[in-house]
Amino acid sequence: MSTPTAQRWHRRGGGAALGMLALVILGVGLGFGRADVALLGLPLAATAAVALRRPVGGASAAITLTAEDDAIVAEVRIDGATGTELVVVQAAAYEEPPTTVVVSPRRAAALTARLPLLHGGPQEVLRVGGQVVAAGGDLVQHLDPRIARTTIAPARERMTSLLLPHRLTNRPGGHAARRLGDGLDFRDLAPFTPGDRLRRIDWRATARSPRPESELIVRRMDATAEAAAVVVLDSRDDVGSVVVEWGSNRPARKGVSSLDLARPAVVAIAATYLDAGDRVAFHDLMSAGAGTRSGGGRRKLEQIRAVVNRTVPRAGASFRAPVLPTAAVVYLVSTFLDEDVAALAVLWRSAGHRVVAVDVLPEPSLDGADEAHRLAHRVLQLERDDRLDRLRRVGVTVVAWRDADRDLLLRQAERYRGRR
Amino acid sequence: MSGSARPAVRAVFRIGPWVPGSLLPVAVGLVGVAASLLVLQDVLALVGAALSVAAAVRVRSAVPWLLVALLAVGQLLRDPTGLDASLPALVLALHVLVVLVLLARSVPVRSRLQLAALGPAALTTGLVQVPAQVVAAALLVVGGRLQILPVASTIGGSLLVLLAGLLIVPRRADREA
Repeated sequence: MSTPTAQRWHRRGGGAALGMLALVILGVGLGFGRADVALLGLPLAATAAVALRRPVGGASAAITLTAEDDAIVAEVRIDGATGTELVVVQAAAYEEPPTTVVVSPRRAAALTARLPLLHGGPQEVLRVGGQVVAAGGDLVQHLDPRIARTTIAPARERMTSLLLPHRLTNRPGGHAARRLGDGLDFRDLAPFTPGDRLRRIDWRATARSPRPESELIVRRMDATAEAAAVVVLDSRDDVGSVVVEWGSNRPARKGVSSLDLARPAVVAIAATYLDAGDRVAFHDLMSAGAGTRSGGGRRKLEQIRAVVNRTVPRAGASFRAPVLPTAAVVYLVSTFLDEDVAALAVLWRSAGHRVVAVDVLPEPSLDGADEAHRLAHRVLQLERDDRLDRLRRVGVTVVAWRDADRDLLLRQAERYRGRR
Repeated sequence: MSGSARPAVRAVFRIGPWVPGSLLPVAVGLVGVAASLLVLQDVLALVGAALSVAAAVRVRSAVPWLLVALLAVGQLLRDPTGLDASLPALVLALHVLVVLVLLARSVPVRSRLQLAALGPAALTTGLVQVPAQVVAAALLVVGGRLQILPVASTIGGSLLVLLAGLLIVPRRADREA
């Protein structure tokens, strides 16, 4: 808990006004010899005297967030000042207007709220402010506002199909290559040549061979090779499913957002390739530094997860295309609301890469949209559909991540050889 | 822009039994009207009622103090020989009115007010009212308006019940919260 910056008590002035009023009533009552009037001033004077008490110390707020499966539990603790009578707590969840509760100091030391888990990635969950009240409501100390942020990691998903690049790398890996090597897939039988391993000699084939007895026959196998996959994320915008919120982008109202779909997509793609022993690189189109170099293994997956977790929308950032390794399968994760990302996919496809366009635009909801919104959305959708059709025509595999059949589409693309 | 149909997310803290914060200004108005009708007469009663409503609406202004002053003036204008059982009621009403005004100035209207949070204020009010009511009863007895024994036993019993309630109820509400 950090120390608040403004631990000062302020008087509202009510106590002083009440004290003066009580003295006047008492004076008038005694002056006129009216005990009943003076009696009216007694409780008021006592209440004004209570308002003279000064509390000790400064109050401060602290917030602790705990992420659960589908919720975030926020624990708010306000304490520190002795003599506090009321605590006014204003709490705003997900940048929404605040709600206010007035509680006893004892209750304020342990307030708990359960908030829905709306989005992944870094986000502001709760903002808490308020004031502590003492001396019968006459003394007030404002609390320093506290903002609680957290980062929600994407769910651990896997794809069931693996789209390989047109050409594998020369490094040994988990896929059968077309060259000779030490893999498990049988290729053919051939005469023994210097350099062949003795354990490769097929004695039965040698015995059956009509060739001279001195010539040995070896079993030759296909080599194994790894694939190179590159996942490229377009983090320019983070549009939600509620179309009327595209302008304001309020976290609590925009619905499932494109980055909510993109983060698990990136991690699932990377995890599937890394599980198969391949190499994966990750690049953020909008941030040249936010990426990971090509690599394999569990640590690479954790590295990618960490980078993707931190990804935030960068609307004004400059667009920077990464340099791709030769013969890589490229997953371009984007909403495809802009032309230049689609142009990049076409460029990579024409350079010989196998390109998969992962569409992460959420299912649009037009609730509350007026006629102008509907028309603008229709125009955008038509442009986007044209863009995606053009990608399909040049051989880019287009998969909508929200589509339940996305793995089926990838399996179909896996079988499709097409032009290279 | 059209509003979204999606409901807003709100941070809802579990605080146990509560009342809306707007109840305090409403109570200021009701107590003010009751005290005005008790003490003031004719036109002054209407002025008192109007001031009560204004005090409820503008509780952070000087209007509530004007109302208190008006009630004191009203008592001053009453015939001192005509003291009756309304005196203890007025003492209580004026005190409760002042406490409610101070609370209402601190509590936002659009808030949830935990009942247990009213405990300290209620306890202080009760403790101040005990001697005030005894003095009021003594004044009535001295004026020959009341018999001392029934009055003393009634007031004493009522105050004991009030005190016990003030001590027990806020703590129980706090525990339940």
